[in-house]
Parts: sequence; structure tokens; C-alpha cells
Amino acid sequence: MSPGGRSERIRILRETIARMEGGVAPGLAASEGPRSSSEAAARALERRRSAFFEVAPAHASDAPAAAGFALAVAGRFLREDGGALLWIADEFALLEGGAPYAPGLGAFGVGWRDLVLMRLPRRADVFLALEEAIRSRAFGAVICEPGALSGADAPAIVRRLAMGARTGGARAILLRPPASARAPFLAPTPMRFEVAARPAPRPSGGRKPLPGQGAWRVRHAGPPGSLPAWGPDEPRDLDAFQEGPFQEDLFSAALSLRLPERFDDDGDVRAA
Amino acid sequence: MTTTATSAPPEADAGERLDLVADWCRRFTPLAAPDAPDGVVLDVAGAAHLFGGESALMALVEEKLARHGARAGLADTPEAAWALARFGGEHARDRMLPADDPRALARAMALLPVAALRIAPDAALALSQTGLKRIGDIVHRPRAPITARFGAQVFARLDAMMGLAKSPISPRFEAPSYVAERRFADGVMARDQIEATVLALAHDLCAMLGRHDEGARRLALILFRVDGAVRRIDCAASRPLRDPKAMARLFREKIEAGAQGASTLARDPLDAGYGFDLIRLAVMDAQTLRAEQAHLVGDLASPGGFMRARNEDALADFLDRMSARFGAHRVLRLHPHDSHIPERAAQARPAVRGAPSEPAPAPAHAGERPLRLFEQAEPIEAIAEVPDGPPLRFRWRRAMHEVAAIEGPERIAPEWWKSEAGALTRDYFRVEDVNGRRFWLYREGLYGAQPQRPRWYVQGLFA
Repeated sequence: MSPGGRSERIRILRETIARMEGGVAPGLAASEGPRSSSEAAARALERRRSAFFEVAPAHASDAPAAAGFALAVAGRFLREDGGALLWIADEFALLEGGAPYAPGLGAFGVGWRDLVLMRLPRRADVFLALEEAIRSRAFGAVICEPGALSGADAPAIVRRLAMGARTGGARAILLRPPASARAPFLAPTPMRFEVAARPAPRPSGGRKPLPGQGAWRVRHAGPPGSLPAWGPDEPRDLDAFQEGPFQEDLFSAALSLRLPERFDDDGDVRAA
Repeated sequence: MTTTATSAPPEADAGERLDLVADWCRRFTPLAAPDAPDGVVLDVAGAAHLFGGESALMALVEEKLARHGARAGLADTPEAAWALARFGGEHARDRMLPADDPRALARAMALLPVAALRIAPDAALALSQTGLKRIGDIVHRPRAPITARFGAQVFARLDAMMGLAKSPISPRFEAPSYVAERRFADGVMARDQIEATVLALAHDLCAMLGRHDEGARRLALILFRVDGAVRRIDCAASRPLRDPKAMARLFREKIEAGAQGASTLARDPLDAGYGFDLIRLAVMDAQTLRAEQAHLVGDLASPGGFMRARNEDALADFLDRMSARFGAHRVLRLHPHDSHIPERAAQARPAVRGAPSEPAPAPAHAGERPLRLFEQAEPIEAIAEVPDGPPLRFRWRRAMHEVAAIEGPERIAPEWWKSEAGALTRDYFRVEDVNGRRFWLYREGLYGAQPQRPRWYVQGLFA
């Protein structure tokens, strides 16, 4: 008899089948109910079979903040579901904005073994690799950083990728290049975020101010109808600051503020 | 058993043409080495029977290379084969020696002129002038006087010729572990047909690999064109591979990428010309691979074990395919490197070479590291209250940043044991400007420690 006996084996098989089908095994979710509305929103995100985020810097110089936010979202996926992180980037974007630095990724929950980096010379290669990654289901999360996102074909490309993510059960984050920071969003999903760096709070009592860690001001940029119903005490803008090492709880709560609370079976937003 | 084919390439591109002839000769054996200035050495041990025996093989080589004026010699050692090809009789049978017969080898070599020892022409002429005209004349003579007068090369060559000293050849490409090939009476040109052949060859290879519980880590597809040109496509796998379809898929990705110009392939790998008359698939590097599915069965009892194994398979397949398509240098993993210099602490290596190990924990005094690091630190103009103090403001990429918060310095000294010329001590600062953007700056050099003024750089960016 295997460890755990027959019921344990059935549970494992259920879980396996549910994961293969992209859902959650019946009974698993029910037994671990959410403790708050914001947590429910976070759970909704985790239960999604797929997600296609578009993250844009509010200003060209906010690109590192946007990358940090994207990485934090990806790191959350990895912690929840395991798997590796694929970072696909245009070679020029890495030269211009700096390459992911493994010693600095641990704060976001991404270990050295978790990261695969693709440096590609052409925009078409970047999108081709992203599409292949989405199809392969090999990664817990994918971050895509094209060198440019302009051009008449860009909306069609992004729509295709978003649909691919939905059907392929992948979680992909499109990181908008700094040069097109103010361009319209392209992703046809509610998962659009505009990210700006947020200054650390200044200490009182004449203490020396220190640089903050992983702090962003995030604006949900989806269409008005896609916004979830927020509680009266929940702010519209994410204005969270983390002091000290990266704190999962803080980020979890902060992230959940900006995410729709419910999704229907197709992953679309449903009014709460 | 070694055969040597001689040719007379034009002077202008002799080296390149010799390489081409050596590549063409790889249809007879994988161990083919150019032997400058005018020869090619083939190790045909175990391969001659595939062509009807040694006589038939020699005749075939000479016939195919007739337009180069080639003559072949066959013997147990490369030196003896070289001598027979150049100084042997007119008929091919006079340039062949039976295998593993030292007496026949000694008899045949004794009749050849001393120039057949491949010694310098001056030395050969001097030997002849002293009456030592044939190899047989020096074999039984005392070695010391001849060595003292004509150099050690004479007997070194003689020993190599007789098999008394090792004389390895240096093939142009390494010998494969497993080989499968198909020959065609008429050259094949259609891509579909070539891909179908690759799949069939992959099935053959996987059967061989399965018998030895091995999988392929590196594969080579070699296409021999009817006009003598040879095409070679290499692929690597991130773990031992024994799946014919996966093997064929790797080459399909690479061929497709070459056709679209998406990779660094210098030419279309399927420039079939008048067609390929021989297609060979070789395993260049094999590793132990236990029976398939064993790991899945073992893991299935653990929660998520099946999915984990499935994800690992999918990840390996993705890495292999993308490496084949874009080149292994474009699909990378970051490996820890034992250096405290930030730009050296992480080294990007092809993902197909394997996953990195987790690094040792960072020392407690080490500061926070940035999310992104520039390949080359970018110089900035910084203004500080005191010369060796932290910056108050700095200009980077034509924008002025007012410093609102700062942490540092974290001093990083150069690796003096590597005797790097010009390397200076760096003082790192973690800086936040008034808009909340965070930078990793450093000042290179110490005031008063060197003649030039310290300079400021931005090396990384925090989230």
C-alpha cells in the first residue's frame, strides 16, 4: 500500500487530474476557505488556469519598478505552484535596462535554479519564444520584455498571445518597454497594471533615511467595467510599502487590492 | 589500419580545400584528418568491410578523388600509409599491406627511399650522400651516430612507421559514440524526405542507445552532397535523450531557423544542390539513461510528483528546442561564480549544459543586491558634500537625480590575487532619489591612493 492508503492515492490522483485539466480538485478549495475578501481575490488569481498580464512603467524611468512588480507577481506564482521562471528579453532591452541579476532575485522568491533567461536579437524571436513557452506549459511563469511594442501588428500579436495563454494554461507577464511607457495598453484582459516607483517614508526624529525595498505605486489600468467591487475601506490605488526584507503577507494583501474578485469559467471578470 | 589519400590542392586555398576533402572522406570513416600540405589520413579500422574490403575501399577512394590526382596507401600506421601513398608502386595492390603483420610492414618499408620517413629534405639528401639511400639501410645500423649527425627525427619517424611508437591522428571532428546512416542511389533534395530520413535514423539510434541504457546529450546530422560538399548540423540536449521524435524535432527547429535566417547559421543547412547521397546521424556524446518512466512511477506516490516529472520533461524539451532554434548561447541559466566582484558573481551559461547549483549563502555583511545589473557600469556625474562622502545628487543619462536616502558604503576590493592591472577599490552605495527610484552606485578608487580622481558609476537598478 502506498503512503497514505487508498484515500490518499485518490486524493493525489484527483489533484493530478485537476492540475492537468488546469483547475482545482473538488474538495481542496472548499477545505481551505479564504479568510478575507482580499485573500479571496488573491485565491481567484491562483485558481486561474491562465493569466496574461501587461505591466507598464508609469514613466520611462519607472522601468525597474515595473520589472520588480512583474517579478514579484511571477515569484508568487512560483511559490504557489512551483516550476521555473522564463525571462524572455530583447537583447537591446537588456543592454539598455540591465539584465536580471540572480543575486538580487532571491528577495522576490526566485532562486538561481528557477530562472531561465533568453536573450534574443529580434522582436519576432521574442514573441515566437513567448508563444512557444505558453504552449509548452513548462514554466510556472513567463516574463516577456520586448524591445519595442509599437507597430500596427502589435495589438494582434498581443491578442494572440493572450488567447494562447488562456488556452495553454500559462501565466505570462508582458513587460512594456520604457520607450512605450505611455502607449495604450494592448492586452485584452483585465490584468493591466501601471507601475511607478514609490519613495520610502521618511523617518521621524531626525533619523537618517534609508532606501526602501520593493515599493511601488500600482494603478489598475483595465477598462472601467473590469474593476472589481472594492470594500469601502479599501483604497483604489495600491499604495503599499514594504520595509525590511520582502514580506509575502504585505505583498499578498497589496496585490489582491487591485485584482478582480471573481472570474467566470473563461477567466473573465464577473461582477462581485 | 590507416589509409592515406594524397591530393594536390591549389596553393591559394590549399588548407580549406584539404578540409573539404577530409570532410568528404568522412563518408568512409568518421576519423578523417587533414594532413597538410597535401594529404588526408583516414582511420578505417572496422570500416573497410562496409565497402567490400580494403582493396575495394582503396579503389573507391582513388576513383572518387581521381580528379585530384589522389593515390592511396594502406598500412597499420599513418606513417607507413603516408610512405606507401607517395613512394609505393604504381598498382594499388603494391600500396596495401596486410593488417597486423609486422614482418610484411618491415619488408615493404625497407625498400622505400629514406625520404619516405618524412624527414626534412636536407636530412634525406645527406643520408643518401652517405650511401644510406633506403630505409632498409638504416634499420639495423647503430642509432647513436646517425642520430648525432642527422638528428633524432630519423629514428623517431622510423619507430612510428614500424608501430614501435604511438602516432595518433587528429580527426577534424571527434569520433561519435553511435552512428546511423542512409545511402541513396539518387540524391535526395526534398526537405520532407530529409526530415523523414532523420526520423528513421533517430529510431535506429534510439534502439542502439536503448540497448546500452544510454541517452544522447549531443547529436550531429551530417549531410553528404553528391558534389562532395558536406553539411553538418549540431544539436544539444539538456539531458540524455532517447526519444526519436524529440531528436527529429531538434533538427527540424534548427533547419527551420536556418531557412528563416533566425539563427547564426552562415548558410542554409539544407542547400541540397544536386541532392544528398548520404545522410548520417551521430550521437557525439551519450550518457546513462535508466529505463523510461521509472522516475514517474517512483514519484507518483508523492503529492504533485507526476506533475513535477511532467513539468521537468516539458522544461527540458523546451530548452532543447529553443537552443536548437536560436542557438545555445541565447537560452541561458545563471550560475554562481566564486567572486565577490558583482559583475562576476553570476555567469550566464547555455541552459542545455544543466541547471545551476544554489550558491553558498551570502555573507552577513553583504548588502542588498539589485534586480538588474548593467553589462557595463555607466559613468555618472556625482556631487558629494565631501570628496569621499556619499553623493548628494547625480546626473545619469542626462537626467539629474536628487538623492533622498542613501545606504553605504559597502567596500569591494579588487581581486588582487588575479593581478588585474588597473583594478581599483569600489565603494558601493544604495541610493534612492526623491521620486523613489533606486540605484546601485559605486565610486571607483580612493582619494589619495592613486593619481587619478575617483569616478562614479551606476551599475544596477533596484525595483
